[in-house]
Amino acid sequence: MYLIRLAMRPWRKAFWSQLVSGLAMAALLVMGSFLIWLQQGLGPVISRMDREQVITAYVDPQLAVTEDARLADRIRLKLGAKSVEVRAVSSEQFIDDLKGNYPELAKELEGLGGEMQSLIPRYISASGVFAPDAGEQLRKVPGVESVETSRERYKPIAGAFTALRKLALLLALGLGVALATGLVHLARMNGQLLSESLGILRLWGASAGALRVPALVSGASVGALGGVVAGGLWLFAGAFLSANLGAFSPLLQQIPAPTAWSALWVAGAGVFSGALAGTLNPGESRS
Amino acid sequence: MLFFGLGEVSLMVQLNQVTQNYFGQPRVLDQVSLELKKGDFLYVLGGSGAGKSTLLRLLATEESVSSGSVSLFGYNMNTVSPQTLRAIRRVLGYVPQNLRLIPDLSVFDNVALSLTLSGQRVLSSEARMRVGEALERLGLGQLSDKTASGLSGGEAQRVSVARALVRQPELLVADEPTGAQDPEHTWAMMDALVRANLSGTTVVVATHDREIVRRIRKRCAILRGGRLQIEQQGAALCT
Repeated sequence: MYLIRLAMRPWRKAFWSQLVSGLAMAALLVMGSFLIWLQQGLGPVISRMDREQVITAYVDPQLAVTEDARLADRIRLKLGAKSVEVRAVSSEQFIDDLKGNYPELAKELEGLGGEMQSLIPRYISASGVFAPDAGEQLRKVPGVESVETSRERYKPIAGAFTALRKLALLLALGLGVALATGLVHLARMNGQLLSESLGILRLWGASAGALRVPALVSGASVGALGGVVAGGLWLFAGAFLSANLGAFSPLLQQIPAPTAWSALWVAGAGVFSGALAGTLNPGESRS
Repeated sequence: MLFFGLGEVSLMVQLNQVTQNYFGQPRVLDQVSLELKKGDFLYVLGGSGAGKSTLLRLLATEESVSSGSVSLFGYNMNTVSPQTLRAIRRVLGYVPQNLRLIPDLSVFDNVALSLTLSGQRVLSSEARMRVGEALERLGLGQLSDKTASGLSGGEAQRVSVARALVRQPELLVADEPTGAQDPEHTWAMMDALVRANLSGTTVVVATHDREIVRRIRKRCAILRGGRLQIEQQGAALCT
């Protein structure tokens, strides 16, 4: 109990330093949490963009319309029928699909009559988890004029997301260093405030563990302030960011919103790092 | 006499050719040798800067020697293990010149914490009684609940002495304990130190108050130019 009261001395002697340090720590923790969340969340998104593809194989106009179904079967077999959804889209079906969103355009195309067949491409759409070279393989199938894959379309986005992941990790590490530096300076200051009392406790025969208690508790108290504020902020800020990141890219909506557990982790990280910093400087004197 | 269950010792304190100097400074202690047995009482006299506080810091295990050796309870402080050093410190009572009370704690708690850290197994009721007695003996009963940071210099000095006495130490080292006291409290404090000595505590007191030395006759040593002269029987070195 005496040691705990001693641990509170930095709060009495340097209240604003402790408070501002705790709040600065909270800000760093929230920013770090966001970066780690983004870094972790983008991983599965990139992986999905890489693995799950939508392949559009355009049918050679010379091929008879009656052959479309057989071509779709050949494509299905080529891709591996198990996890593939293949759909042959005729010109008429294309128009039907168009009617929902663009009724005027659909009407104009219908007015073209027989010419429509040559103007509107027929295509076979396949979606699922494919090998990276699936598009190349389909190009070789007789009756396929050309192939488009979402993988190719998403390649620049996946590259940008990968770069963003690396940047987020670097920034999180930078924030970690800034946090550690700030905490060590705070621990040194608190160590100065406690050193004389700890010196006399040492001369009374206090154990090494007992001598660490005041600095540890005082560090943990600043860490707890930072951690609790950061945890609370993270819960709200994280949910807000998660909901609004979709404005940048719909793909980012796939990143799950932060959970209450993650907020608890943030709070715990604050307490732990504060306590750890407190153990670094328990005062200087002969051991 | 057994200490820490490790063995029997005849000498409480043994300084052998101790020299102490700090970076670039002349020797503060020069070839000092001293032996104290259980129950001894020694005054250390000397002018300002004579090295009294340095000598007492060595006895209180606060400093290590530059050369020579300090042995307490038979253990050489140059080679003692951290565990034994801790055990030795638990049977030491130390009144530093700068007092070093814990300002956040009350007078009572400062004294009680000293007793707690001595590792003695005492019931809380007995601990309260011992702390209360130590405070009363030094005229601090009324100040029991006062925070240490609000004490005057003289009051703080008495608390520091009470803090050392409450643990009933084997060796008590007091650096100018009466420096800020009025005569009444000076004699009350010296009575407390003599009482502890009579109950077996070895006492070392640094002072420049010759009146105390004259009225309470004990063994005495003087530090001059870093050298320690110990009064021989029948000589009047200190008075």
